[in-house]
Parts: sequence; structure tokens; C-alpha cells
Amino acid sequence: MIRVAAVGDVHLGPDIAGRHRTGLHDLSDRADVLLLAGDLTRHGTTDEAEIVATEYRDLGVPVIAVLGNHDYHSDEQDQVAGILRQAGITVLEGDCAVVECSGGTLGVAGAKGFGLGFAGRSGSDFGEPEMKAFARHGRASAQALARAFASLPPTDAVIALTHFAPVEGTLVGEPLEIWAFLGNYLLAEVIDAARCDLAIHGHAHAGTEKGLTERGVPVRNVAAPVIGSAYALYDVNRHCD
Amino acid sequence: MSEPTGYHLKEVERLLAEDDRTSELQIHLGVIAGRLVVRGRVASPERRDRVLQLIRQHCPDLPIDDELDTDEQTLTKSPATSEEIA
Repeated sequence: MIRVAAVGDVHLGPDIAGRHRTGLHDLSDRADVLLLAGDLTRHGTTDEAEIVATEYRDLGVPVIAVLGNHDYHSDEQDQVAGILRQAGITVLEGDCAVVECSGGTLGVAGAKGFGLGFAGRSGSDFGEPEMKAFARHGRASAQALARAFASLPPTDAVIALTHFAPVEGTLVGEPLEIWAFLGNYLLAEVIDAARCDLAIHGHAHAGTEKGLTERGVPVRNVAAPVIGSAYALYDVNRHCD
Repeated sequence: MSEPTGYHLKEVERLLAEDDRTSELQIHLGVIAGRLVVRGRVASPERRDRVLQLIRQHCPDLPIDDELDTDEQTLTKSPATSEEIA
């Protein structure tokens, strides 16, 4: 069994620096790895990234993150990711990480994802350039997740880590009108094709923690306002258990 | 005292999301019985003050009902249990 801690949408800034670290005091006793599901900052500035780096440095467990839309807001996402990596945090975007845990090896395939919507009610690559750009980025975000899975060596358990939601189930509670901006069914298609064990995402603050893909992969929305704690804990069994 | 239109309230909600002083995407405004009701959740008293300051700047004529929830606990609480993923 692999013990996975996960949280997203912590939106750190100077006014709450150090707060989350307080809540992570027992993390290394309870988890083998911490997954961060994006929106680590408020504006995506390098100053905020330094706060995030300090918050998650030397926690005693590997920390693996994807960025969220807030982390892109200042067009400094590459610098933000660089600052986090310097602090020992693995930042994924279309690639993977493998963690050796006492209960087995864990593979994490990560990408931010994007909106697009869900089957039957999604944007299409048609019409104005702006609409096509939206739909194409949604499709490209799923292709990035597919690349991440393709790069993953065999491991005992596999998790998909995104910021945007792959299924509608974890959006229940959010206004229906904005679901197309919160998630993307193509992410779920990739997750199902990879037959992974668990999919983790954030972004939907007013959503629901638990959902499922069409093929039954458990999906968990770990946005901090949803889980209501410093992190959620999942005991993931190995494929062969 | 003129009551703001729905368009104006949506504009202020947009500013709350896009202004770097706030960057709050989930604050909702409504006018009830001549009072501007502000709802949503923020992470600190400082963020609450910035939200209310921006709203007062753009809706100076209405009394404000501050129904914002300031959540200072979530990130400090360890989870009580873990979930087994079969």
C-alpha cells in the first residue's frame, strides 16, 4: 500500500505564508508522498513562488506538483516552476515522476490540463480563432497528459495529477454554466486509456471530492476548500495487491 | 442613492477576479433590500479587507452586508482519516 497525501488550490501569498506548513507537521508520519494539484499561488509571481518553495521544502517526503491557472497569471510560469524545482519540488507538465515508497513504486503522470467541457457539451475547434484556440489548448492539454503516461515506466501504482477536472462528478456544486471552464472530458479519456489507479485534481473550489471516470478510475478533487484540511490521504493499493 | 445594475455588479465581480490586489474569482455580489450583500470565502482578514475596499470603491452609495467567510483553519488541520483506494 502506498500512502498518498494530496491538496490543491492553496493560493499562498505573503499574508498566509507558513500557514500550510503548520498543517503539514505530521505529514512524513502519515504519507509517502505529497501531491500538489496546482494553484499554489494567487497571481503566479516569482515572489509568491518563493513563498511556496519555503512552504514545501524539506518536508521529509517527495513533493510532486503541477501548476494551475493562477500560477500562469503573471506569465512567469517557467520561473515559478524553476523556483519550486530549486526547492526540491518536482513540477510536472506532460511528464512523469517515479517515487520509491516502502509499499511499492508509485508513478505520477502530470499535466495542468485545461477547460473544454464534457462529452455532448464541449467546445469545438470551429469558428472564430479565439474559440479554436480555446478548444485546441484543451485538446493539447490532454495530449500532454497522454505524453506523461507514455513516458512512465512500469510501477506498482499509477496516479494522474492535473489541476483541471477530468470528470463532471467532482464538479457537482459548481454552477453548471462554468463546467466547461473547469474541466475537460479528454483528460478522462487519457486516464481511462492508461488504466491508472487514481486521478487527482483541484480547481473546483465549490465542487465535490469524489467522482469516477467512465471506466471506473476513482477521481478525487483535492481543492483545499473541498477537502477542508491541510491534505487528503489516500491509501493506494498496488495493482497486484 | 442609485442602486447598481446587475451589469455593474458583474463588472465589480470581474474586477475582484482580475485586479492583482484581490484576485478573488469566487466572490458574489447581490442587492437585497437596498443593501449590497457580499458572499464568498477568503483566506485571511487581509484578503477580506482588500475585497471590501475594492467593492466600496466601485459601489460607494450602498451599505454593505459583509457575509464573507474568512477561512483561516483549512490549511492548518490534519485530516482525521485516510481513504483506501481499492
